[in-house]
Amino acid sequence: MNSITEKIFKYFTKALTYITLSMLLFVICYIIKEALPIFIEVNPKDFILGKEWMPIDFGFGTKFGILYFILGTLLVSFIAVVISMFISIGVSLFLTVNANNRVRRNVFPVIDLLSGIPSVVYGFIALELLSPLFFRFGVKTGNCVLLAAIVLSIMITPFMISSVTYTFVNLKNKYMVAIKSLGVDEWYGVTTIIIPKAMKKIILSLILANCRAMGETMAVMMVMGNAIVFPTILGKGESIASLIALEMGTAVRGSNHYYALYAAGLVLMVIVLIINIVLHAFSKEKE
Amino acid sequence: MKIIAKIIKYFSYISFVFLIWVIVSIFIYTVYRSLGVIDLKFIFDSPRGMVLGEEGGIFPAIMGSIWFSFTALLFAFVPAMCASVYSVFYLKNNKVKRFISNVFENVAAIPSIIFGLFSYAVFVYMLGFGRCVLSGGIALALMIFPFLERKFEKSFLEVDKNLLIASYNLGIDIRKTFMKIVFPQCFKEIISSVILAFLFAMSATAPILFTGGVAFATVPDSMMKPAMALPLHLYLMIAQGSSQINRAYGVAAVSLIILFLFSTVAYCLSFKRDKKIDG
Repeated sequence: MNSITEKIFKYFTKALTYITLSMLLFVICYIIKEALPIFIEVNPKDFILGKEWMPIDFGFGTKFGILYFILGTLLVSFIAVVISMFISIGVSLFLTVNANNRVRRNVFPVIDLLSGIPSVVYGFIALELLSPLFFRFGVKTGNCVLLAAIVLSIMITPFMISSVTYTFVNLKNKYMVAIKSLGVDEWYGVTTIIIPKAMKKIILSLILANCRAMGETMAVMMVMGNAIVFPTILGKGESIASLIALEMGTAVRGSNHYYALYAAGLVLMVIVLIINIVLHAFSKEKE
Repeated sequence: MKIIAKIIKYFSYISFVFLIWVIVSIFIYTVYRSLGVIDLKFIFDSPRGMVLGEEGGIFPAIMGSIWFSFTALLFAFVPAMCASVYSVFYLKNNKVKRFISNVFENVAAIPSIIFGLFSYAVFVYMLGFGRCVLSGGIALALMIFPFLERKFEKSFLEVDKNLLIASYNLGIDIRKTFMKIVFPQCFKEIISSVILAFLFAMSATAPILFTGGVAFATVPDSMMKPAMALPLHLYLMIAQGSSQINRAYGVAAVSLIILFLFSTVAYCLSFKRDKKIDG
């Protein structure tokens, strides 16, 4: 009796695990399947390196090139990660050196609130408060890549802070006694020993945060300007995710436009997955 | 070097104060701007007006969001629970274990809009569900599944190993050990993870953008109906250039208040020492 329920329990969990696993792999395969038809029409190289995006034929033919979207995605997430790096290293140092365990445990949930705020709310507040500021400083319409990057950097900061603080606290536990017993100032020790030692792990978590930033849709879409141009810091740009979100509603199912949007999604997914897989392989090797 | 140390010291103080200031001001400013907008009518009425939302309330959006998140939990909870139980307690083969956790990790990194795309092609069109709570909910479920799975796995791994070994040695099988020891011990944390996943699903817009979220709908009475959602409603109000900016702040404030209340509950439930950040 006992062993039968045990067996049922075991095979039930096993079955559901593998069903879910195959479902998740099916998602990846299905995106590839929906993207393939466009590559019959357009050479994959032209699709990725093409500069012109003209999905609907107005008599001049259609063009599918997503280079500017890729560059927009990379640029905005890169700037966001750089900004977030400074904030998160600063905050993590404060939490490591100045805060005791109790403060640290109570501050973390407050910082985590940031990651729960809907991205639309971020976009809305940025449009309301920061966009006029940029406009006053001479950015046309106020929306630009830098603004989107600032918003993104706040969104990914909680993730960065938690991983950077773990690294710092570990190093502090290892070296702080030695630093203090040598009579060296705490912050001098932090600058000369802890930060250089932590740099490798910080860079790893930066790249992971970069992956998250690349997939962010709504906030970026609302404040980046959405123009198909070569993205510059104070100019407009459009990310792959915003491209999909903006045009999917109007793309006729089965048209090249539709397939091209899936292909754009595929490119985004492949970039993220490659970075992720390489990174995990790299960090496992270290351990 | 000493000067750099000083600079870093003050920089760290400033950035901490800055971050806390950002968090507090987002919440306080949004709620402040929405004062006078949020009342019972705003919460319990349907949206109306030339640009939808300029008059009336947001009740269908709140209920729609809840419908979406519940559907997502419905589809994600049991698989996440089973996957974490199986990989923690049953799976002995390390290679398979690593493969499974790698897949989950990588899926967690996939942008949420990709799940929207998938659900759009498969559930909205191929299976013919159309735009409805079910299609959107499944997209959200795919998004929150890795999050839940990792949280469950983490809480199971924190159970005292000696208890498990003692239980196995008494001849009690894994199912009973799980039901009698692991589950009760992790219960609070499981609830807290579920609440966080609920909030995660509630704040996401990209997956439901073209799979189930619509500009206007009544409160859905089944999963096969489309629904409104809070963040989507806010987005559409802004995109359509609503002149009533305070009402947009009202919508934002309602979602922030929900976030704050639920996060507080989740935090109180799983309050315990996180050894990783203790010095």
